[in-house]
Amino acid sequence: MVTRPSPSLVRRRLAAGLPAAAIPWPAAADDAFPVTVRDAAGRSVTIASPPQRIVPVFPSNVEIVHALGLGSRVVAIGGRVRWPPEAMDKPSIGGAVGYSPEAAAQHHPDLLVVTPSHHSALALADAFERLGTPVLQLAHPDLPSVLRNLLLLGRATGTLARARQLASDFEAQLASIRAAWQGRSVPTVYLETAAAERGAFQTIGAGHYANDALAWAGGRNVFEDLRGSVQVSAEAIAARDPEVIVSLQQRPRPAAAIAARPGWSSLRAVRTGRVVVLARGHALIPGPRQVDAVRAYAQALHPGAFA
Amino acid sequence: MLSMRRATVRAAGRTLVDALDLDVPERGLVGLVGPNGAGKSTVLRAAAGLQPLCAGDATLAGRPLARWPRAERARRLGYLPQSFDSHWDLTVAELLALALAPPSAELLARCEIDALLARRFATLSGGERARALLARTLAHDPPLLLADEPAAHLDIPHQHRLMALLAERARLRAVVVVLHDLHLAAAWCDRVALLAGGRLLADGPPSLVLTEDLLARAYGHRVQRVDARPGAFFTSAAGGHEPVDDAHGPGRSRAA
Amino acid sequence: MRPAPVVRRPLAPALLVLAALVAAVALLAMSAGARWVSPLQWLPMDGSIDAALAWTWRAPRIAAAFFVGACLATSGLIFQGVFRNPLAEPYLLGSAAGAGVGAALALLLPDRVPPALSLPLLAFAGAWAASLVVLAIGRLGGAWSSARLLLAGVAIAAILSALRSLLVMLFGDESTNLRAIVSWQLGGIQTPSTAEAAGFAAILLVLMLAAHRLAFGLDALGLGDEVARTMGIDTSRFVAAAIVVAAMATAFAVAWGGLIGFVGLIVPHVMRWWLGPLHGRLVGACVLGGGALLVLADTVARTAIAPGEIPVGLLTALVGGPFFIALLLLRRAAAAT
Repeated sequence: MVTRPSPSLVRRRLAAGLPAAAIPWPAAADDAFPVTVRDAAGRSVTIASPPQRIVPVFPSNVEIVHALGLGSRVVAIGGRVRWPPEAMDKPSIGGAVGYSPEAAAQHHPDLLVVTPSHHSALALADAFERLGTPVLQLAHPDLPSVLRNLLLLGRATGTLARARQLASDFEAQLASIRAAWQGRSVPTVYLETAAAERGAFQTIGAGHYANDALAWAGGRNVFEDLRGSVQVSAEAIAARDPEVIVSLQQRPRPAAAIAARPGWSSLRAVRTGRVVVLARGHALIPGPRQVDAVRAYAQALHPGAFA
Repeated sequence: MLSMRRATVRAAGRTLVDALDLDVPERGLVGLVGPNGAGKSTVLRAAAGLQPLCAGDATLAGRPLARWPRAERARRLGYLPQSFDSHWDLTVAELLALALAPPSAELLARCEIDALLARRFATLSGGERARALLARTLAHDPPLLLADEPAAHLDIPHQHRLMALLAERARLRAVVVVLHDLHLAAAWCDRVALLAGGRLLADGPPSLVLTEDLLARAYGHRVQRVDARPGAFFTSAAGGHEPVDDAHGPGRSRAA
Repeated sequence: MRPAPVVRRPLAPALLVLAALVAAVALLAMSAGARWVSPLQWLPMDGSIDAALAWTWRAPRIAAAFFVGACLATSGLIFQGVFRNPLAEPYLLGSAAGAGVGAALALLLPDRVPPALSLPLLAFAGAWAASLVVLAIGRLGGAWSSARLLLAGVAIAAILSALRSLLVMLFGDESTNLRAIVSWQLGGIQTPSTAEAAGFAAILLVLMLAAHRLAFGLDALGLGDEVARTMGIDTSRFVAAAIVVAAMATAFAVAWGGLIGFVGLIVPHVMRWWLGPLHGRLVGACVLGGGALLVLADTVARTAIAPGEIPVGLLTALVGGPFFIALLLLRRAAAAT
């Protein structure tokens, strides 16, 4: 049986999420170089001078770097990147079928930004570490860590002021979204990140930033007891009977297709018409545009609040 | 029953059978003998429809071989290949189930395999296997049996047992058998066709075909034929052995 | 020491045993899942939540699992007969990989043709084309060679698997969900609608009839190409027809279950060991045995880490491999005595 979480619990969760007190560096030495930062892998990385030839790998890292205004300092990108438009003109070092250290080396990078969840990215990182090029590994198990990544990169590239600006912007938007649905009941939601026609339903649990995003949007993930990206069975979804179904699709098809899945008509989300299809796009990129994803979720979960 | 006129088979640039004429009557045991590469097996395979003729024609029961629909031709023929290996581990009963008709109890008794039905084919002795295969091939009572060296790898008693079965069958049906062993041909066949180099050298009763002259031409080797009194035979060996009295055959030959 | 006589098990009782096995496994499958529901609760179709869970959510999937397992086993049986090798199976011979390429194409181009139609069609085309290529290679130079066919199959399977992976990697993100395809590639039973499940029964019946008609020819092929021809069988045409039937079975299996290996290998093998090598006896046994096996595997797949799911192809490989090795060892020991 799914019960509505108590308001105090929600408040405590949100409060714990804000990274306001997370920055350890003194304000005076904000942009001094050389700087030693600690990345997501816990490694201390020393950067001698502001990097001028940056290679971000993975769409989220590309977005963060560009959001910090460093577009002119990006010499190459890696991953299936679609945003921002100016990034798509940069030379690619791979993405669909792996990353090429040689292609990256061609550009003589002085900073690499990678995400360890992509195995081939680690091989890339390995190669450059041996050359002495600084490599920052970023991870994003929740939304606060996305903000931490922003600040970390800002510090590492000498754009901390801009990073702080972006971060507080982000928090302000999150706060306004929260204010919009505050006081309404928090529905349970099943977030479908991928699915085949009639099976292989993929969703996320705790430890994934989308889980966090749902909480910020005023929803409760029915599968929050699971961890990371998981495949769940149809009957498990039925057993938890979410109030809202949000489906992320690359090429969005009508919500009726989901309602037509055999047996799904008995789910209350389908019966009450609370099935929403969203374009996958930025929803699964843990970068500055996550706030748009949160807004999209919030609109799906609390349509009345955003009318 | 079977008739071949100027039958020619060529493969890989070689002529395996060269303008061969052969007539197989509706009854009788016809032996095809000759050295290796003489084309004996090829002739048999052509008769079975496995090898198309490049020239000449063959008729089966009056109809051209090629015109026979496969299924009907299969019912008229029984073919015992030179080497047989089942890919699956069949019992004798299962092997017999793969005949074109269920074998009669009489046939099984004749072939002396009625006690072997539950045995796995792979565990049978050479002689037992030969008889089981023969039973399978004869189960649908084909008017023409084509057997390719059925007695190869069998020891003497089993060779003669098998030939006795074939001879018995030949009293009522046509049987063509490729033989390597001239003694068996001499002892059992009503007619012998001597082949060499794809050509038919002679065709007739064994005593007339298995002459020293013809055999020397066929084998390219001097052959001495020794006629024993009726009812005796011996097997020859290079050094020459004493003849041993035994049951069969009007004539036999040995290499000099 | 005289080898022991072998009396083949009578068929009808054996089929009854298998049918009972299917019923038992189905019972288990209806009860197990994210939540255990006892048969007493779901058997009466009274609209209660438990009954709804079992009949609405589990039953169609169980039907699909049975169908996929039956198709895989039938396909394996035919392939083993045609290639005259007990190691032949649709997975190993590239047929499943071909179906995989076809299905991947269908999944990657959902806009052109609705996947409901394009998936089975392209899967069949892929399975069939792959089998034909393997046959052509195996026949190079005239005579067949069982060994050469197998090797060709393994090579083609490898090439097609790589091709499929490449297609998915290059185009996966464009039009569809990468994770879902990857998961499907590892094997997963899709849930059919009631109409589709009814269709399974019809398709299975047709496949069984076709397999029965092929049975004598497959037995004859086992005696050797030449012997088969003298039995009146047009071996080239027969093999082509057999491959079409096997490819169809493979295509359906892949369309509804993704890439699941080992079932097509093990089930015919076990049935042959149990009932003897004559193909006519094996068709029904393979359908029942393959169906039961996959229903069981799928039950484990959706129960073991509930609410999560294990891709069923992973399960069959993890369990199938060692099981097959054990089978081989047992048979060697039995043959040695």
